[in-house]
Amino acid sequence: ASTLVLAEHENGSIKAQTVSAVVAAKSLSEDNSVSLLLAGSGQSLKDAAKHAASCHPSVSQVLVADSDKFEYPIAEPWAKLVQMIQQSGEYSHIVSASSSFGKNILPRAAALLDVSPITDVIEISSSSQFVRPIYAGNALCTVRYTGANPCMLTIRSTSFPIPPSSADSKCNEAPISEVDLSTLDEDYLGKSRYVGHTSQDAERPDLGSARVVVTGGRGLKSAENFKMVEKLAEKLGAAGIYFNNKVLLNFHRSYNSLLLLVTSVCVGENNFSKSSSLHKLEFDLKI
Amino acid sequence: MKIMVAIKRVVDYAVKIRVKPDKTGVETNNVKMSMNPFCEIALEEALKIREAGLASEVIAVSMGPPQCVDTLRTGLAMGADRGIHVEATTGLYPLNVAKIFKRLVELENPGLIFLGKQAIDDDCNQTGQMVAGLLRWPQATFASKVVLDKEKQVATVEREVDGGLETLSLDLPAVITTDLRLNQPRYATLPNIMKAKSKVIKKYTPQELNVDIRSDLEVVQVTEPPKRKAGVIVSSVDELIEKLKNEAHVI
Repeated sequence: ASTLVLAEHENGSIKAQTVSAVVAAKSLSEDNSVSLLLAGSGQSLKDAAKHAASCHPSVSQVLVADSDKFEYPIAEPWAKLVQMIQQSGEYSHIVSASSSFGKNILPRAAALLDVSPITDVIEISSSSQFVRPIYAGNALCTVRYTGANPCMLTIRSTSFPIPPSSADSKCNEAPISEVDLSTLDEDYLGKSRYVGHTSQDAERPDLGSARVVVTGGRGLKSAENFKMVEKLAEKLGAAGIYFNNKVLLNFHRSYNSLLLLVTSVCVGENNFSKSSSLHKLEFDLKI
Repeated sequence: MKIMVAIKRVVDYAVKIRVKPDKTGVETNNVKMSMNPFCEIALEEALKIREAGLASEVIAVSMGPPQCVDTLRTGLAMGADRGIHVEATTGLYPLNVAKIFKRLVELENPGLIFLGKQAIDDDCNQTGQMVAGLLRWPQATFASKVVLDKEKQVATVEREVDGGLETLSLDLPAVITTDLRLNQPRYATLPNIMKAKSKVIKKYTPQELNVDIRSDLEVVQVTEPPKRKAGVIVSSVDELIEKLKNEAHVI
């Protein structure tokens, strides 16, 4: 078996979620060889490729697509790139983290390759059998992939934690090779253009990579009380705050609860709705 | 310009779902079914664009069992001009839906396609991207703002990405999938519900559209998630942190 992992990088290093995708790829089968695919341009791509080569002992190859087309992670050229690489590499699996990058690109690439992708995998039972949440996490569905290669997956990075020993191990450096992009030119690739990006609340980690997520519900009753959740988040260190309302709660329960169950703290309605604990907490936080 | 909108019939978002005892799926008999909330947002956006004079017609498309017609009627009552129902009794996976949709696009030639970013039943989050891929059209997923420039034939779309917003500019025709914050869908008024009854819903089957419905996925089982244990009330933040560290070992 051989797996292609679609890598996300930022400021010259591979994102942790991508390393989780490598961990997931490794669990597909014992003798799996894992190739990381990076795209971008300039020095930050070169730095990220170096980081990719030693980010996890299971990485056996790093493929680099260096072009202005990949300055930003746009779906159209990326999906085309994946299709092109699959046609020469014939991987058995293609994996990406279930981030906004992976969710945007992988299904498009799957359509080009005429296969059904499996998104949001939380458990790998075998190389063709996977568990994923449905109905906002209120049920778990086990699916078997019976189609042709490649089997394409996005994985929830919180379900495939990176073992501490594999981080920054220098034991092996995978070879880095450049992808030949001469056949990538298609006129439709210029039809979507990157305009800009604004980040929200940069001092807190985003939901996808937060180690701890603190979240409050209607039990908090008022905006004033909600400040306690913020304070608690500060006290816990690198914590993300997730503001719930009923609709969001319904739609994102799976995403949320996964984080809550595996890695996070739920300051839920019941803890706070008792007025005594509420006041006590206020006192401790010196609001 | 025509706009096509995909709408899916799903278990109503307020229903607490039950997994069938034989683990073959989720109980849908005698359960309230509604339009997928993200599809409502997609339809609302298309209607707004038509009302602003930037589109001539909004076509609602649904695929699945005969009851999908009810969902289409809801869409027509919200304001869609006409409907297309592709009747399929076997389960459709996103790749099947995308292939059928591509055929309908070839028949109708819309300038813009709206889909919800995902359905709240299977939570796949794939169909829009796959439609765009098959058509070789540009895509903007998870849209929270859409601005259309009719003269330049360009859509500027703000997208919700991890930790921020990204803005893309797409040449039309294009595919846009909608996120929660894009708009607040309207309710159908009684006069519009009455009017919707006379609007046209055209029927197709996948065979008539020459789309081969094969599947490369198999549902092995559907189970309930592990039950959450009861919580405890702590008296202070320090006690909470202490418990998390020493008992739960999560931080």
